[in-house]
Amino acid sequence: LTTYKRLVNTSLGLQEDTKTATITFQKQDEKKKAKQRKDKVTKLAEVDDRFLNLTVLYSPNDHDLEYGNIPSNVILSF
Amino acid sequence: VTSNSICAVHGLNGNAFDTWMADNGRMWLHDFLPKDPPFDRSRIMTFGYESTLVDTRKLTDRFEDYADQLIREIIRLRGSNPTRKRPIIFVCHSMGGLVARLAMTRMHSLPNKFKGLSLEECGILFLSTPHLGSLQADRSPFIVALGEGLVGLRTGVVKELQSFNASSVDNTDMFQAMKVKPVFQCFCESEPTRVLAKDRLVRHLILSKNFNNSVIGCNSSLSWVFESECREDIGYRSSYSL
Repeated sequence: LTTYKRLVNTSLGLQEDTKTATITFQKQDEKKKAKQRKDKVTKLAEVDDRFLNLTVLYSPNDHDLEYGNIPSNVILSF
Repeated sequence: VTSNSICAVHGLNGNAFDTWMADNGRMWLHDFLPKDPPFDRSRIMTFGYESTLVDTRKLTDRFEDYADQLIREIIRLRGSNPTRKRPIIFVCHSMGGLVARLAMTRMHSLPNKFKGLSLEECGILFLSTPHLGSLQADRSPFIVALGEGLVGLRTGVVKELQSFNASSVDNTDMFQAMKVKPVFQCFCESEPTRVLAKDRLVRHLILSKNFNNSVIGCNSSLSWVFESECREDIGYRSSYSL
């Protein structure tokens, strides 16, 4: 019975189609995710001109900012 | 009030952001750490430098330049008196640890050049840092020269990473001999990390004299920490508890 089912499925291409569709979907999803990630990193890189310096990710008080202790170009805003 | 500073230094082939970011775009240094006391009172920074293994633009591969840049940038941000006395913890991944360690020894040997940051205020977390190089970087000089000619392999970086290379050995000795030394802790992985589509247990030569006593095996792969997608992820939680 199993062999018969497999033969029918193969001849109708059902199983293969489902499998291919799943893989295609997964690949598209991965590509989309990778693109989103790349876009975000590229966006971040633009903030930090040559990628060669210090970037402040978080600072708990704005006191230092008010007094200009942190130059505005090194503050990263998400 | 800000109580301390944290500065992340990425490793080989990384960058200031991507190294610390998960696939869903969350960066634990930015998205999780500020929500967990006492780090909600920390200023968190990330340092970027050219760490690519292959590059045809003939960039500097002198680690001294990166180390100097790191200190200069930090001093630039610590303009006022209260901020100058604020402790700073360097969180360094792999090769980033070599840059930070070199920065410390340079601060020690050239105190007049780097005013505004003292060794007493510094602490370092070495995450899988190859203090004495890595066996994985050991390639014959012919192959390295060939790589340089064909694809722009940065030979300076390769040499700094080779096992028991003169520069690393000297700098390790200098670090250990410093009279005033930053507080430091070394961590190594005990679970494999996915590198080039293969699970590998990254083993570096980190054991050496005094360093030997301060190596803690993380009961995880470091990628669990760096690629934590939410605050509840076990990688982030376990590292945070350390």
